[in-house]
Amino acid sequence: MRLNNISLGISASAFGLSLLVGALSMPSLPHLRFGAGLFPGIIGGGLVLVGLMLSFTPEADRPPLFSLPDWVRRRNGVLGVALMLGLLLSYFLLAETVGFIPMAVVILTSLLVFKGVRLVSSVLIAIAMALFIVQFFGGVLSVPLPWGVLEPYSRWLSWT
Amino acid sequence: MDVMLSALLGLFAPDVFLVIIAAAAFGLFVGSIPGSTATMATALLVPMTFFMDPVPAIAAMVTASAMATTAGDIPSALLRMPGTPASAAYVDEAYLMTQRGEAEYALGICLVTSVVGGLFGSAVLMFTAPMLAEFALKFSSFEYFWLALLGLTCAAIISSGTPLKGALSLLIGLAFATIGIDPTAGHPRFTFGQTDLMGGLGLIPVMVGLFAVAEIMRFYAGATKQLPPVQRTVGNVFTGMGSMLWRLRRTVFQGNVIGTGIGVLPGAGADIAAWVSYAYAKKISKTPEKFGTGHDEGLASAGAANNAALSGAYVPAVVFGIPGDTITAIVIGVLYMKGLNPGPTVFIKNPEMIYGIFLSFFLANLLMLPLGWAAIKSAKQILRVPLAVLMPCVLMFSIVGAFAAENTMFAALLIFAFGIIGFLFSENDIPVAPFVLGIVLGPLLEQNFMTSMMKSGGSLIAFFDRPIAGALGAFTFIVLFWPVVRWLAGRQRSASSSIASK
Repeated sequence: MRLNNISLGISASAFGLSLLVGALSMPSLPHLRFGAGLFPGIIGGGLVLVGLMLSFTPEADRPPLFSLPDWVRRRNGVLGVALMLGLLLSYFLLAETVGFIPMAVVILTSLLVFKGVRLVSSVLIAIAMALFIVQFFGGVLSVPLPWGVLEPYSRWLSWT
Repeated sequence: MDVMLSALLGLFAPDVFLVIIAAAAFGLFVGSIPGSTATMATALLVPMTFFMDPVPAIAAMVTASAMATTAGDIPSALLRMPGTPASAAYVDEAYLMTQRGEAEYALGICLVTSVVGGLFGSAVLMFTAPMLAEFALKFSSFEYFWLALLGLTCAAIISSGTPLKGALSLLIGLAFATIGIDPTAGHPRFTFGQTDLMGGLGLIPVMVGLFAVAEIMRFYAGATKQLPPVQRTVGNVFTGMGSMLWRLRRTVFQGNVIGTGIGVLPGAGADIAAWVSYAYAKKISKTPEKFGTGHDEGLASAGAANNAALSGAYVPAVVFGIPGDTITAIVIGVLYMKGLNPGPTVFIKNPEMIYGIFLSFFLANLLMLPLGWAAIKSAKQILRVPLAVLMPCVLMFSIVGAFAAENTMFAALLIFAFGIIGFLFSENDIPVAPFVLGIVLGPLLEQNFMTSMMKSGGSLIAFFDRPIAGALGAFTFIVLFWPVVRWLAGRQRSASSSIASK
């Protein structure tokens, strides 16, 4: 999504205003007239000002308020971005319960197949990559990756 | 001298040296992939550095970023696609030389001038940083406040977009930096009741989101394409380099100076240094008409500048704790994680470590000659790795890297959110560097601002009372209001021209 100077400036000012309102409700330090809200308040004020200046800055090619970039019209552009973000979000929501390895295999296989890699190769690459990450990050670097449903088999899946 | 010797011995310890070699290989690989950045290489390296001592950790990041910047020239010359934005300024120049069958010469210039530029920047860093640190010991919260504000103002103005969009990016970054417990009263701000937000936003997931996830999004949007290289074999890249360096000595030297100078300025990194140096070389050249036709002069100047900028960026980072570019922003985050607060006292408390870091710059740049040569030789294989396989793997590394930094699943949500922010920023031509510096420097700026305000009982006059603070303050105001004056003048001009046209 592309915004022109007017819509971008108004959005920035609105964000600044919300920051300013939030800052005004913050308490002051004892015996002083300012406190936790002073700094965010100044930033909010700055955003309102910069937003207004931006919306009053003319653009040579006079673009519309909102315009869609080329990739939206490209074949598989929106689908690709949505798939990637959807899989990333699903990791946040499900990884704790399902576990790292199954989630990594699903994410990698889906993205590989989407870009035209054959299913069998995709699954093999995904499994190899997931196991490598578990050994390297989980084993060598001691990152506590979630085991999830594979918890009972963790002893066999990690060499450390 | 003893400190220097023990720092040097520490650097050549087998485990440290091995880490540096591995980081170099990693940097060369990431830099060779079109669309990646040296910042992305550094961010992805962070989780590995958790388990290292400070010197190998920082040396690894220094090496990886220098190698990635140089390796970015490989796809520039062979595919007309800059491996990293730092190579974008001279991509046409290098590619045109390749089309004439001069890929060896183009890549040789890139490699050799990168080494010269990197060594020059390292020497400047090593000699100026300790002197500046001695001076900086006299600074109080007032001076630090102005210095941070001046750095941020420069970052917004000289960033790659328009100054207004730079300012917008910076202010949004500063706004995000206020999330969490406030430093003076302990009041939670903009946390929306989320305990994960109480400690503020984790720097590493933010960086991984902005630089790695946003890039992966661009790939799936179809913006990055893989092309076969035009010249399949590359001969000896060192042929004719001695005579080239002698003939273009002034151009290379000027690239070194411009690169280091721009590197020192907060917010402007290797990419801007390369653009400025290329433009300046063209301006003062006796044959400016040859620029853009596959000419070696611009290539030598910009190639030296981008690597010199990498080292220059560490001057404000180690002396004041103010990052010179996005890479040093990450390095500062790692230094804090290691319990080492960058600033002038680090030269007194940890001289061995700081000299170890300085010497690692020299080592990284010298290693670049053989390793860079090897990377150019194996370019055909590296460029053949399909992005369709690489990008999903980078996504998994991003998830695990962010999780390793925060130890909470919330990190995945952060890289998701900041990936979208980074993507939208580039869609709308908003520079990312001021945003990053805003997030990194926000807490330092606020801490010094609030401390100064409490010292002065809320009086703003005190910010100008001390001589250095007063001078820094006045200079900041000039830099801050110059774009406002230009903006008003521009509006007046466009208004009067529209009246004239009517």
